[in-house]
Order: sequence, then C-alpha cells, then structure tokens
Amino acid sequence: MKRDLIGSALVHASLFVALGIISSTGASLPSPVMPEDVMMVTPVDAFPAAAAETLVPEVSEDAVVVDLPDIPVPTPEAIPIEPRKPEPKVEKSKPKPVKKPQAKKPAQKTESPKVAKAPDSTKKDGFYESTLSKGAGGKTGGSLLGMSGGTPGGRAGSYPDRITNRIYRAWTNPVILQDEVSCSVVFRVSPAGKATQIALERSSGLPAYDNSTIRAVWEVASTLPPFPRSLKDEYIVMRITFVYTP
Amino acid sequence: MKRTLLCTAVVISILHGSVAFAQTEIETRIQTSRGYRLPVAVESFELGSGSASPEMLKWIENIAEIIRGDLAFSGYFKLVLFDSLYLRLMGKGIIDLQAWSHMGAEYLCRGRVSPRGDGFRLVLKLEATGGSREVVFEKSFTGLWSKRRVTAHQISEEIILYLWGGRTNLFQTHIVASWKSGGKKNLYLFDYDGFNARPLTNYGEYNMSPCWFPAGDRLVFTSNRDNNWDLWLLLLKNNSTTRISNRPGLNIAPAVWPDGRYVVVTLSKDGNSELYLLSESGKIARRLTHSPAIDTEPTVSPDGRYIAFSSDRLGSLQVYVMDSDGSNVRRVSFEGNYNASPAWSPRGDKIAFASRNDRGVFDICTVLPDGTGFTRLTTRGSNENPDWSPDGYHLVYSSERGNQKNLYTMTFDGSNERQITTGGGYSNPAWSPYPRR
Repeated sequence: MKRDLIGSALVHASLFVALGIISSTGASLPSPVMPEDVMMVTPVDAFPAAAAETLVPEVSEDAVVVDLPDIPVPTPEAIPIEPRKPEPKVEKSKPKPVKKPQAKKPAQKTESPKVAKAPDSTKKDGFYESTLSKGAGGKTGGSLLGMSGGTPGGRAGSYPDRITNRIYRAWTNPVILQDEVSCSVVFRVSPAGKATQIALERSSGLPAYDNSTIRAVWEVASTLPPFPRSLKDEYIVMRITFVYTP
Repeated sequence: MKRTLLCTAVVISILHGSVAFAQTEIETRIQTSRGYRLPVAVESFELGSGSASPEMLKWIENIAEIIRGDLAFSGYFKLVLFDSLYLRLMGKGIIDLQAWSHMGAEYLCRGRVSPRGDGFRLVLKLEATGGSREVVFEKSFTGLWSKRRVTAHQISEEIILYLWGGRTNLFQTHIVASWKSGGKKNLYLFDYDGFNARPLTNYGEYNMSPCWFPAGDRLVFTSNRDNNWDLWLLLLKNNSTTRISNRPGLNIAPAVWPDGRYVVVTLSKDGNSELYLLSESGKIARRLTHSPAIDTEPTVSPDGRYIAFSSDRLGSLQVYVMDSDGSNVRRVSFEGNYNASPAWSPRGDKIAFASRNDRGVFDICTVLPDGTGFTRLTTRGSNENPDWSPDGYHLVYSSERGNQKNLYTMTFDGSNERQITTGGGYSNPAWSPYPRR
C-alpha cells in the first residue's frame, strides 16, 4: 500500500515536471487552425431560425368583401405550405484545418487547395470563377478554378478566389424567376484587405437583386484577407458578375 | 496559430514568386440557381393628423393587411411578421429598423394615415433595414375608405416597382371560377386574391369552363341553361350574354385565340368530340381534329402557332400538341395514365395540366411544349383545372382537400401555395389578362 502511494506520487511529480518544461519552452499541443475564409459569418441563409418560424403570411378578411347575401363569403386564407428550404451544404461544412502547402509542388498548389474546395462543397447550388486582366490591357489569366493556372495571373488567382468566395458566401440571392438575371459590381481592394468604392457597374434591372449583391460586398468589405506578400499593387480592382440561372 | 499563418504566408510568397502587379483588374463570376424570397415586413400604419373613428382605425390596419397579402402572394417576398417573443428574448424594447433586421426583415414598410373626410392620405416609406439603411422610397397616396383595397394594391405595386423594377399589375387582375351551391354551378368573379366575389351568372344548372378574351372585357363559357351544352359570350360591363354556338351535342371547353378573333371549341355535332375553330360570332372557320377518339380541352400557345389539347386517341387521356391548322399532332404527356386540362403559359414556355398520380388523385404538373421537362408541382390534395396568371409566374387551380374543393394559387415552381377561397365548391378557375389602363 505504502509502495503504491509512493509510486503514484512519483508519477504525478514527473508529470508536473514535464508540463513545466513544455510550458517554459513554449511548446504546445497543436490546436486546430480555423481557415481564414470560414471564420467570418456567412449568412447565406438570410432568415434567422427564430424569424423563419414567424414567416406565416396572414390575410385577414376584408370588411367589404361580398355583397351577396346568399353566398358564403370566400375568405382567403393564406396557407403557408412551402417548407423552409434546407440550408445549402456550404453552411453546414465544418471548418477544416488549413492544409499546409508543399512548396516543392507549386504546379499543384496553384489550384489553391483552400479555395478550390469551396465550390466543390456548393457544386449543386452554384460556383464562382475568376479571370484576371492586368492594367488596362486584355485578360492574361484564365479560369482560376478547375485550371492549373500556369500563368503568373493564374497563380495570383488564389487571392481573388478567396475574396470571391467570401462574397459568394455572404450573398443571399433574392430572385426566384424563370429567366437568367445578372449584374456586375466593381470595387477596389486595398493591401490591408479593405474593399472601397463599391459600385454597381451593370444593373440587372431588378433593384432588389442589385442591392443584394452590393450588400454582400459591403458585408465583407472590412474583413477581406490582406494581400499576399507577392502582390505589390497599391490596390486591385475587382469586378464580380453575379448570375442567377433558373 | 501564428506559426501556421507565418508558414502559409511564406509558402504563398514562394508560390507566387515576387510578381508585382500594377493596378491589377480581376474579373470574377458568381453563379447560383438558388434563391431566397426577399424578407420584408409591413408595420401596422400609424395614425397621422386628423381624428379617426374606431372603424377607421380598423380600416387603417386593413390597408396594411392587404399590402402584406399582396407582397406575400407576389412570390418575390417572404413576409416577416412581428415577433414580440423574439424581441423580448433579445431584450429589445424599441421596434426600430435594427429590431426588424434582427427579426429577419431586409426591408420595412412604414406608413402614416391621415383621415380626410370619406378618404385618407397615406404616406408610405420603404426602408432597407441593414447596411446603408437607405430609404428606398417615400411616397404619399390618397384614396377613399370604400376603395381602400384598390389603394392598397396600388401601394403594393409601387413597392414591387421600386424593388423589382417593373409593375406587375397583377394585383388588379381577376379570377373567374364556377361555384357550386344548391346543386347549381354559377360563375363568379373574384379579385386575384379571392376577395370581392360577385356573381356573373344565375341561370341553368351548370355554367363552367370560362375563358377570357385578351381585352379582359368578356368571357366565353359553357352553360346548359337551355338543356343543351351551349357556348355563351358574356360581357362583363353589364353581365349580358349571347349564345354563340348551340349545335347539337356538346359545345364545350372554349379557348380564346391570343388575338381574340377566334375561339377553339369542342363540338360533338357529328357524334364525336372534335376541335373546331369558331369566329367570335360562332361561325365555324375550320375543323382542327379528325380522330375517332375524344379531342377536347384546347389551349392555344401565346404566339397562336400551336394548340395543346387532351385526347384519348391512344387509349388513356393524354395531352397532345398540334400545329394551329390541326396538323402535326404529337403527344407531350408521358407520365401517368391520365393527363388532362392543359393550359399554355402566357410566356409560351410551359404547358400546365392535371396528371393522375400513383395515389389515384391529380397533381398539377408542367411540361415543355416538346414533351420534355416534366415537373410535378403539387403534393397535397387532388388538383385540377390549372390556369396561368398573365405574367406566367403564378398558377391558379382547384384542389380538393378534406372533402372541400377550393381555389389555390402557387408560383410556377410549385412554391408559395396559397388558398384563396374557403367553404368549398369552387372549380374551373380562369385568370384574367392584365387590366387595360
């Protein structure tokens, strides 16, 4: 019994000593790293659960509806039959730790391990893609998703893709129509990752749709990631076309 | 964490090299096919200057209710209702834009109504609840208390105009339907939302299958008022009727040509139901079908080039399309063994019809004019007689649920279903064209 107590004391003492050494040298257990682009609030579904339950349309009976004494007054009752739509998959996807890029294989890395996963998780609902143009000249880059991106523009695409991904997830499309709808928004991004001069460049003709896209950019305007070190611009100009296809 | 970020930054710089960009322009594209109806709230209107009787206060609330109903019906909005419990939980004492934003509304309608004799003046403000919180518009409307429903519809249209860029005029449209009472079916005219029912016929046992002329001032329908199923024309301005076809047998299921010059109708004067083209006066312009089977329930494409109809020429009743001269007949319904009551969308892109499902009851379905793209829109009740709103965005139909047949509307994709009548006995709805202004 006594021997057991001594043994237990020794074990605890050695554990304390080990923990002390670890803390003094700054070593720590690895903690899961939240990818930067999933830390923000992404209100893809604009209806809070509490509010959604209250969205019960009501039409009360009008006071002067019917002038027929022998006819039952048709009393419209708006019956909400539409179930709440399931949240997009992207909402449910849990934050995944950032994959450590491997510098030895740059060609594969240009496919952007972090960003390229977002469209995969939302494949059924939508996608985004990027093209680069430099200065006032023509386009020099191709699609930055689904392409290896061999050009310098293609390599830099991971940054615009991250911005686009942020906006994509902040955007709530208010349109349910039978026709395609699109509009373009243009804005500047500073090296610190701040979007300014947000403007509607091409209207869809549907103010509510236009407003929703501007609103999405505004929502992430001050939380965009800063430029990567390789990007030396004073600012970049982003032009995003938002497309709804029925 | 810091280490990881540092590591990532280093790797990114390796990947990108030291490429320096000068005012890089980037074009990106975001695409989606998913949409969420815009959450909007309509606050109860305040009383402005002037005194109001208790009845007027009720009418003021009624105006807000009508606008709420219009917006919820439109299919563009999701109506956010006041949630006092939510506010209490959030500790919010003041109902302001932020509170509405918390409740989920992106836009808020507020109004102030000032009584003026037998009428009123309403100042309406539409505001965005989040972001810039801009006032989308502020406008004043005047109206009579007795016509407040009309004014409320105008306000709803104004909201649609500012947020969706176009007038719908849909809130000014009407629906005609048969209502069965005391063993008789008569035609009634309703506002688009089922209110303001008024009778159009009061004779015979059955008055049914109404179809609007494009001007919206007259209808053609079938009645057995003189002991034969005849075709009648009804002028809405005075409810006067004129018989346009009383040939032996059936004169039923009329469909008005898009320009209003002809009526396609089912006649059985020779013993079998065939489709004919009649002038508005009832003169036969052309026989369209020549089949020993039943051919009935025609509907004309908006460009007048095609006619869809139902026929049992292959055994069971199915929907077919033919060229408007009666040639080139092809089947377009392939799901289920009984498909009937086709209605061609005013957009021209779809044909709605009633299709018997596995449970032996009918669903409203749509199909493209080439027979592809079959989509089942309803899931409850037994649904029949679909007809399109003039913008092709909504459908009205009768649905039997709980032993009552009432009228329902929904949007083209089967969502936003709304019951617009109660009490039962309703069938054969027909949605009017846009009103002429």
